[in-house]
Amino acid sequence: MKKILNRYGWTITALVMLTAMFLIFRGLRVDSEVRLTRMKESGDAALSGRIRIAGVLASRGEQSFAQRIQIDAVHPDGLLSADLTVMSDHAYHALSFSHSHNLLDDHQAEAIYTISAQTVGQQNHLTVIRRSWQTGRETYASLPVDLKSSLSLSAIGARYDPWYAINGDMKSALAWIDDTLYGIVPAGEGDSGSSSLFRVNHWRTDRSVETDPPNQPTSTELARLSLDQGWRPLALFAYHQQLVLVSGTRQLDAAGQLADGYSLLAVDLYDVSGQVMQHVDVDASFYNIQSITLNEDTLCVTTGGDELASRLFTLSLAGQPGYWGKITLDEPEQTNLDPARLALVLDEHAYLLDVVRLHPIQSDDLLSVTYQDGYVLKDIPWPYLENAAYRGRTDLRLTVVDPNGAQRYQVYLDCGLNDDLQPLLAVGPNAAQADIRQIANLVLEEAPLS
Amino acid sequence: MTLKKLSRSFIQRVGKLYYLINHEYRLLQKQILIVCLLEFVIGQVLFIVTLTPYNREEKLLFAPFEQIVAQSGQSLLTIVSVGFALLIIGLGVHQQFTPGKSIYRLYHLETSAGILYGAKLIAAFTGLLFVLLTQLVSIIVAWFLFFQSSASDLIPGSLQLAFLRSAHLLLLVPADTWHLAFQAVLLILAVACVISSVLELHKPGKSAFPGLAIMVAVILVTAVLLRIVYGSLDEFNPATRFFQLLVATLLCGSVVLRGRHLLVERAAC
Repeated sequence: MKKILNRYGWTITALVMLTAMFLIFRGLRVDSEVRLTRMKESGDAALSGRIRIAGVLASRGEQSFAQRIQIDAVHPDGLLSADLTVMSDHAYHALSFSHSHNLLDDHQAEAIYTISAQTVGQQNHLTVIRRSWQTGRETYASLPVDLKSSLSLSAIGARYDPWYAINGDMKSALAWIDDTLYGIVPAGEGDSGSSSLFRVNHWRTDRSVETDPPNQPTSTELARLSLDQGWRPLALFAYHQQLVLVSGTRQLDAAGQLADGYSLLAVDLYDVSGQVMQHVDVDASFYNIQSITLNEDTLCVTTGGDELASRLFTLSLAGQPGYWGKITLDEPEQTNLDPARLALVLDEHAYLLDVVRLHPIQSDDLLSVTYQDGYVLKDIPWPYLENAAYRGRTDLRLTVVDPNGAQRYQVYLDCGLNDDLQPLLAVGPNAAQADIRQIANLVLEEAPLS
Repeated sequence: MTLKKLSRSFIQRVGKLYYLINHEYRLLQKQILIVCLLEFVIGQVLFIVTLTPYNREEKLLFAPFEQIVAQSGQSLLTIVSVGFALLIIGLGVHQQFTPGKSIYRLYHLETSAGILYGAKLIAAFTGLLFVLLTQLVSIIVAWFLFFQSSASDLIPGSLQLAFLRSAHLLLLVPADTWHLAFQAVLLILAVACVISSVLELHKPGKSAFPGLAIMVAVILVTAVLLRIVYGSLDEFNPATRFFQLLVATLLCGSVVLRGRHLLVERAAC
């Protein structure tokens, strides 16, 4: 043995090293492939252009999975048109802790909000916690609520945080009108009693729920909404000076017990004092909520279950909210959604974003987005952006050019995620194109944000 | 000379080179293994010490792995380990100028000095790579031991991401062919600088100062080059890349040739 080691020591060392390096390099450099496939739409064709869905599809009984990539708009002619969001780990965290389906709005970009409930004596209290992204400082508001839970609230506390929005049916619990925070007490499985529509008047620094002075409560209950008959709040949005509450009614079995799935979908408009202004409801049989978005006057509720369907409502300040209709979306090939691989991207049409492998890649690899027929839409220098995000660069500009070399659109990317945890992006449509470094179909350059 | 004689001569030279490399590497092997073992153990201890507060505060779930690597001082450990490896290489060369430590009397040194120098370079380069590989393995093992269970579900690819986000890890695993080539040249340059410096010190009959001064100048220029290449995220155009690689290769080539010249000169004495 010693003789062999003496004679072949260097050879053995070199072979072991080469093998180890090959395996390590190979393991650390794995492609990420993204495919974009068009979904078949059936229903009222006039509605298809109004559908908005953002986020991740969740299959029955399984946890959904937040993707690193979110593309908000795709043109029918095949080129990405706007709002490309490439998320680093930090953005991923930010997104995870915020409402994943609407990205971050201005308020959520400043702070993270969570809601927790606890029992003091015989009274349940709701606590809204605001934690600043920048300083980490927490402030609180509390509200006595009539929410009864089959869970042991007093022992462990029932906590709603926006992470729940990824998996749960409650997609948005908070809304802002003129910098005032409004919220709906999220009621989940097994809860009874009442949910509450509330407004936060001011924040305090003391966490204790019993420290609200009687004449200066931190929050005010605007409306008490009974959870009888399986009624469940699903999303709250601000619409001009009104609040839009989307809710559903759980199905009941023959014995009058709550069963899986929903049987009714309702949209209510409240004024800021908690009065119901308008109401519309539709019969809808579905298992879970995939996405709820409010885009201008169009409310889009996408539900899962036996079918993946988007129901559209139109809102107006003067008249009654109207139900437009439903579009059913069918996946071209697969029927069972794999939450770890699939995300839905919509603008004019519905697409499935299929992330085949999520591993990051080496710098000369590109993240390809292709049509089902294999046509490459674009290539993203993913590691470059990742690296830029790590270094805190805030001056990157992303340009997408078509295969003929013509520039299609350009956005600035705020990659300073390390510093402020804010994901992307400021749009600069008319910036000059200078000093470019072209990588396949995509041009990336530095530019001062102005 | 017939083809048969040529091939026989070539095989003899390759065989001689192989035995020389093996011999040179055996001189370094034990010391390098000790450095690697220490590097691995200290690396794991540093990880454990760094991770303790994270685990206590349950923050590990959201800590990027590259942040843990940076905080645990792995880059300093790498520098120290590489420094020790270079010291061992230098001492190894120095020892061979002491009686009874060399096998070179078996060969005709006047004609085989080039092969001897090549063998020294290759063996030392292997040792240095072994130290770097140990550091790499240490970091990956730490990820599997301490990080994987908490992070892999939440942050898929966190290990791979770390190797794209950390400048230190990018040095261990170059992100592209260009960086790989550049680093290979730099490692050979580092080894050649050490060996040539020792040979300068043992240069017969002349002052070692001018030669050592040139070595210091080469190291400074290399440091500046290193700063330019790794100091910016900018993607250099192909011409700039070629120029950088050319400068590094010229520096490396001149140091290697200088070392070979010194060895031949020494052998001729």
